[in-house]
Amino acid sequence: MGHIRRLMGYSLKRKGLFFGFLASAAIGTVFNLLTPLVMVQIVDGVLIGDQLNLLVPYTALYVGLGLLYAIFDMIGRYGAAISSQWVIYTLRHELYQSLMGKDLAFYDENETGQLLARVTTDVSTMREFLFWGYRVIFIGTIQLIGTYIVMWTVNPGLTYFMLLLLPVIATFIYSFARKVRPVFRAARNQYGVLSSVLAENVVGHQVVRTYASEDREAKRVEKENRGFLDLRVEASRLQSFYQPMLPAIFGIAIGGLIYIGGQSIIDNVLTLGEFVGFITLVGMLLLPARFLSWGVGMYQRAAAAGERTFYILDAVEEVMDPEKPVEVSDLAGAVDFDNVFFSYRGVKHILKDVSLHVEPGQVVALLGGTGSGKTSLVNLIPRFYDVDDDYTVSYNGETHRVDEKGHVTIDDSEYHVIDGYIEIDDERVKVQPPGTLCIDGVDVRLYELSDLRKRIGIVHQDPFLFSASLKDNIAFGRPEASIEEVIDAAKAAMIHDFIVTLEDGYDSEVGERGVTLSGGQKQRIAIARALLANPRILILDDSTSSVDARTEMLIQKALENLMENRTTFIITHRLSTVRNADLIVMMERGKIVEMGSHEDLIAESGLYYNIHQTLTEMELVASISPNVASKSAASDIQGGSSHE
Amino acid sequence: MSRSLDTADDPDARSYEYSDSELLLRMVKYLFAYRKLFAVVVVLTAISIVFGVWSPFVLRHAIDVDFPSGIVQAILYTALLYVALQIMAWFTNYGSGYLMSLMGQRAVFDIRQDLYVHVQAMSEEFHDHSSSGRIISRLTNDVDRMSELLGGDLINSFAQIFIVFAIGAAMFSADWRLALVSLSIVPILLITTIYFRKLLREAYRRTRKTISNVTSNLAESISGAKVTKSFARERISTEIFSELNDADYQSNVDAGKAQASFFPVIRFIGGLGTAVILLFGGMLMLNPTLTPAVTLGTIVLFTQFSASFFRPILIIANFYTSVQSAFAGGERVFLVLDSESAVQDTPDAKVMPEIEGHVHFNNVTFGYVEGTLVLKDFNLEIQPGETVAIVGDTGAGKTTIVNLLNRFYDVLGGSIEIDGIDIRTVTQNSLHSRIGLVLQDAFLFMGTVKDNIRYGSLEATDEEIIEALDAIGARRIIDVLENGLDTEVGERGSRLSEGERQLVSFARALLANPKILILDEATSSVDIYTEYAIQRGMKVLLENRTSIVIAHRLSTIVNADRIVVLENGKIVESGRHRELMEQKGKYHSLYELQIRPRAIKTPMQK
Repeated sequence: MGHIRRLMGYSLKRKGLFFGFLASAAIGTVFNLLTPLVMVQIVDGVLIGDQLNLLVPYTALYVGLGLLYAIFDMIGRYGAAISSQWVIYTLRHELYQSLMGKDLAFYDENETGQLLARVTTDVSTMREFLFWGYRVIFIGTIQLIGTYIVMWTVNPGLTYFMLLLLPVIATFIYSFARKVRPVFRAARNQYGVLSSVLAENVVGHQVVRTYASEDREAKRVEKENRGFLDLRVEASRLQSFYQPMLPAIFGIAIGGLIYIGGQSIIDNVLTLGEFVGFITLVGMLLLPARFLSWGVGMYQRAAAAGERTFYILDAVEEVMDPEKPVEVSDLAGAVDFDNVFFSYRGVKHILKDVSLHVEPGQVVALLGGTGSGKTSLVNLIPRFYDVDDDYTVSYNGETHRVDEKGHVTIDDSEYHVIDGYIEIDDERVKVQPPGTLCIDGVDVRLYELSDLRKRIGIVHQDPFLFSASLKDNIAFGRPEASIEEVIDAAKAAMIHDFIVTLEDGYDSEVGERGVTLSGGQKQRIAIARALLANPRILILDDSTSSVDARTEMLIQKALENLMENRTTFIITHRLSTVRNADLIVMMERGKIVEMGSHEDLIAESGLYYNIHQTLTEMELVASISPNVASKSAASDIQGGSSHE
Repeated sequence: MSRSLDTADDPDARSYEYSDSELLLRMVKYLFAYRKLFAVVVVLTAISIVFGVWSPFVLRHAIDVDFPSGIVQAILYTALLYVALQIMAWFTNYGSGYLMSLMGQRAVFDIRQDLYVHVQAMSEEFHDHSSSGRIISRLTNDVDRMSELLGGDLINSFAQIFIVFAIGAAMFSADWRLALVSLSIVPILLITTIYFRKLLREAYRRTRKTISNVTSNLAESISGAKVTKSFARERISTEIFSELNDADYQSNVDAGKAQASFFPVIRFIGGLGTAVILLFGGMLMLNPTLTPAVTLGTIVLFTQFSASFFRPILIIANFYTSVQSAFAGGERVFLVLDSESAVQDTPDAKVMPEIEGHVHFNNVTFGYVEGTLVLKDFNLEIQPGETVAIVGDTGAGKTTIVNLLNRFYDVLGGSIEIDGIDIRTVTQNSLHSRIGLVLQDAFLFMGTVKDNIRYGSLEATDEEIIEALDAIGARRIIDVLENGLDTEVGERGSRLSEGERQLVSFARALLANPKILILDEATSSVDIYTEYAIQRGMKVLLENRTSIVIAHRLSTIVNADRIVVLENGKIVESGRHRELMEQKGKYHSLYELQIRPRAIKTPMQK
């Protein structure tokens, strides 16, 4: 209900257009309703009254009314098309801007495919309603009432009899909506299930074959296929039942009309012309019955689509530009995390009390398993998310949030903050102020977002390229860059040599219709893109995937070029990269557990030392290689096996 | 020869490999599998046409005969007849509609089933040449395109032709002069409809283009949101989108004109028909010199017929669109159905017996495309239980060896034998059940972790599954998952990390326990903990069976019983790590250039 009203709000932004097309549709309908009256006159006045001279003017009037109906109907339709298209245009524009403004938490919570469906399929559904729905419901209602009024002016007695049709129409609309539509929906869903089973079979055909499970998979497909068949046949069956039902009902009404009308004619209370006019009028009731049933369906679908689409517009944007941003000319690249806590939408803490100080130009290697929080940590720097700004209390290893009123709930009991402390079982626990993340000593939330992000470069393990030319992709962050600058960046990213082998060189299109790039090539394009943007701070997610060793060397070299003179955060598993870092940060469950240089951490003999040894053990057999002394290997085996 | 599917992009594009009549015939053949239903549908449709044409005559009878007679009884009977006709028309329509769709949907079911079975039997060559997206769309959208035509449109449209003729005949039998006048409207109706169809097609073509630009821009913007943000390019991206959005608005508003006028114009022409009947009918009726005389009932009869003329013509005009779409889909479906698998079981293929795992490539020659050989006189013998690591540059022929041993392709010359049995003499299915294949990109099916591990051996108990996980050292990683073994992995395993997927695929292979295992080692690395588990798991997996590993990891390579170095489809070196290193040949340079830089350095280089 609310969603349709909201949609109507958009239509009403161009009131003239909206009411104009509705009015035009209404006027057209009125002209249409007048034609049976002309018919009555032709039959009674001309044909039975034997006045041939009136035949031509009446027929002309009949045609004229039809023409006026057509013209106003056309205007109504065209107006509706413009109005609906305009609403969709506006809505899409708002959606796009809203999507661009969303923080990453939003993209994490919503799958790409679903978001896309919300802005495409659902928007189309709403357009259908905007174009048809209003008119159909409006015209349906007017024609329903209008037909009865016209009937009443022709013959009130018969009209009462025809009112019996009203409950029948209502029942039809109701049962169609209740019985038929759910089956259609179920069939559509089953089609989705069938499609995904088929897709799975095609994509995973090698696995199916390898495990010789063709028969089993074929049975699964057949089952879903049959389920779809059954539902679709059931839907068609219901439709075949209901669709000819309306004409049949009206046919039965005409049958009744013959009987009652015939008697009335004998009793001289009805003329033949009125009888013929009534037959046309009964036919006119068919339209509102269809329209209203159709309108109800569109209304339901549009309301559901509206809910899904408006969700995007309504999702709160948590990361916003500051009111008075600081002026920035250039950044040095110092990054300081001070007692940072972080949680997605305030649910569970992903980062707990993280403090980390990085000097300009330093390389920081982040290590940790899935869920250790390393990715969240780097996502805070460009403000893809914001540091939690609640006060917290840490008690028994758990961290609790203090709400605005100064209340904390720990193990179902509530405590009050007094003078920066809370008291639990006579123990005074300090309340911690919210943490901060500063770049060059300034809180990141004080920078304008675009100022901040332009100075931070990010290269992902699976970089996203746009379907544009290679040049445009490299110049993504600086569209005004010259081709020389693009080439320089590509050279430093070790991808220039590849690009010049392509037929269209830098103008080659990326994507479905263009060149297909391997993972390693994509990554180097992304490195060139970052190089050209020339950020002060770099974030590298370096988990090279599916590249052969030679490509990996190229990527390695490209990364080295990129990292030069930049503060770099690198998420990696490659110990050779880690060893060269200025600072190694080991993370586990949202906390920094070890931090220091390679030598420091090895000397500490902690977690890093163990992991380093464990992995090295795997490679030990390589020590028979002439390059490595076998003695050190032997001692390493002992060091390594002490762990576990 | 199987062919690539990667050609047609436009959903309505045709390649005209089949003529229209061939396509139609073939689709009808699927319908004819349900002959009896077909016959019933035809009979029911014919009856409903009769009822439809009959009703206006009853009405005429009422107006011309019963009303003037003043006999209430007669009026009642006529009214009852009219009502009975309506009810019977409803039931015959219901019956024919239902049976038509039952038959049509069964045909669609059969086509889809045939296509699926066929695709499943196609050799790897077919899959290599056609993107999976395209094959999926053959199975889903293209098959569905035929659904409307087979599920009603075909028979219905034919029925409309009969309706037109039936009404025409009825009109002439009622009054030939009025019939001629009424029918004069038909050519105008047809020409206008065709004109508008053309206009609308053009308009829709433009809107399709603009909307697809909008959609693909949206898709890209959503997938690339993170990049756009990190380069602070939101403003420029919004401008680009606005342009596309604007173009779509314009093209739709333009199309709106044709769209808005089409139906009102057609309906107006229909109204003209009624007016013409009233005019001429009136003149005839009021001119007593003309015989036979025209009655009021006849005029009413004609206005009724004139109104029911209109729908058949619209349906027939629509038929063209429906047919075009079905033909386009049908053509693509039948193309696949008619392609033959390059690898087929021989008629006398036996079932591969239990094996020990002795593999022998015997003078094998093979190439994917004519004229370019990937393997030439290739010989490789692998003893039962041996682990062979295959190394070499991209394109050296590593994957080809895997493809040939699985008989995803057939050798051009020479033979491949397992325990002395030529693999071409056994069924593919039994061959595959003896060979385990672990792919680089671990593919999981929708379902739970447990379902996936059990994929190759359905009867495995929970204990066996846990044992397998323990054996490869992956228990801890699975335990961490939200619901442990019962965690849903999502579509294609998307809810698990890459490393987790690999471990599940290891456990799956271990549980299936094949005598020969082929492992295409994933090059992607995962986080340190998982990486460690994967390396350990691999060792267990390779134990006690003939293993061929396309190896990327140093640990795998040096642990192998034998390293085979491939270059341009030939084995250039083979032996253990130490021996090969001493040779200072291809392996040595591969090692120095590729394998070692990938591996981590040994620590403590003090």
